[in-house]
Amino acid sequence: MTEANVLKFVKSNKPMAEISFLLIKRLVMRDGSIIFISVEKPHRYMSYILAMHRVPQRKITYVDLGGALTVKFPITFLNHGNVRIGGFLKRDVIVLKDYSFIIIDNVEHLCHIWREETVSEWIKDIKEAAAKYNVLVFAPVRSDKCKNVLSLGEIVSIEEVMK
Amino acid sequence: MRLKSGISGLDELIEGGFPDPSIVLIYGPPGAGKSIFSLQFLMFGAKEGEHGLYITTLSEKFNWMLPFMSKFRFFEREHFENGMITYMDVGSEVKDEDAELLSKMKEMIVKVMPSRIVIDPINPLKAYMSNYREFLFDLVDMLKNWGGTAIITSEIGNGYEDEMYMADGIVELIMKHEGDVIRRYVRVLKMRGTNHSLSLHPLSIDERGMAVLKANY
Repeated sequence: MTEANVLKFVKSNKPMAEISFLLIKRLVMRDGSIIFISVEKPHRYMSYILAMHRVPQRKITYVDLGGALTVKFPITFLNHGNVRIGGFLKRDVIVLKDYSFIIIDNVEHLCHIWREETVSEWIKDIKEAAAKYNVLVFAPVRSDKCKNVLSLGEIVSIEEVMK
Repeated sequence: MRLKSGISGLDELIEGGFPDPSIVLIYGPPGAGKSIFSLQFLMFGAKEGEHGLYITTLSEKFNWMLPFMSKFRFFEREHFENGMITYMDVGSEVKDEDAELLSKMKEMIVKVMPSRIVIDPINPLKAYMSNYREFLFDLVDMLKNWGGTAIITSEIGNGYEDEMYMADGIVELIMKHEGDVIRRYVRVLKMRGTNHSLSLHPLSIDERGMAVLKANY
């Protein structure tokens, strides 16, 4: 996998939580470990939706960004400022080689609170790190806002991913 | 993103539709058309392939209301039959713990996965809640976490009520005495992120449903 095709923006007009849920459900079926980065709301909400639909969460690591401004890998889950980590953890740091997928929920929210250049830099950092370890990055989106950010990856429909 | 309201003429006043996601309060006196507005909003979405959830609280039973609603042209029974619109009556749960009521709503939202949600009406719950403002805060948190667009209806008297502060948008349905007749109007009081009209716009309700007419005052 190259840096060029590592990032997929998954577009749909469904509610954001539903897009992320469908995405996780599909990726769990592919039997890969997932890092779910939540920038807007606490991960317990997604965890609740998955539990209600009996989707196993054994291979999902949740990263709640909250007020944190960046994610660098590896993440130490202790003493890491505003970042909250939950779910599956193989060791006391998040090492990308343990994972197959990253989901970022949601980039559009970041575009509301950060400058587009900042969001782009942040996404590039994650993309670069993911490419090194053959990790696919998915970012659900509902609109064409943050055009510069969207230009960093391929835009695919949720239906394509669900195939 | 904008979500079309399904009310003819309204979207032109609010830059093409409700901000999506958002929480919109529809308020007005009895007979103003709050339930018609809500159902027309859901029916429009269902036609577009969007799932809807209609939650009634302490109001008229939905199946008592349906015979009247089914006379509108926008009303299509199959949307209830094929699961595009789900109806949930929480009237009997209202006396339970506040948190339990929220938990039941949350459970239903997660099950149905609706793009459009209606809670009709919200204000009667006030009498039963130990802390209504806190309940509204948790309700908003739940709806925002889900991310669809929710219509919440209320009969609000004069003055500013708790519901008004939590909503992203407020649409007022007005019934105004003019001489011997009562005329209907609509006014958009608040719509976050939207350059909207603050004028009164005449409103009609006939067999086609609710529509905002062109003139404004």
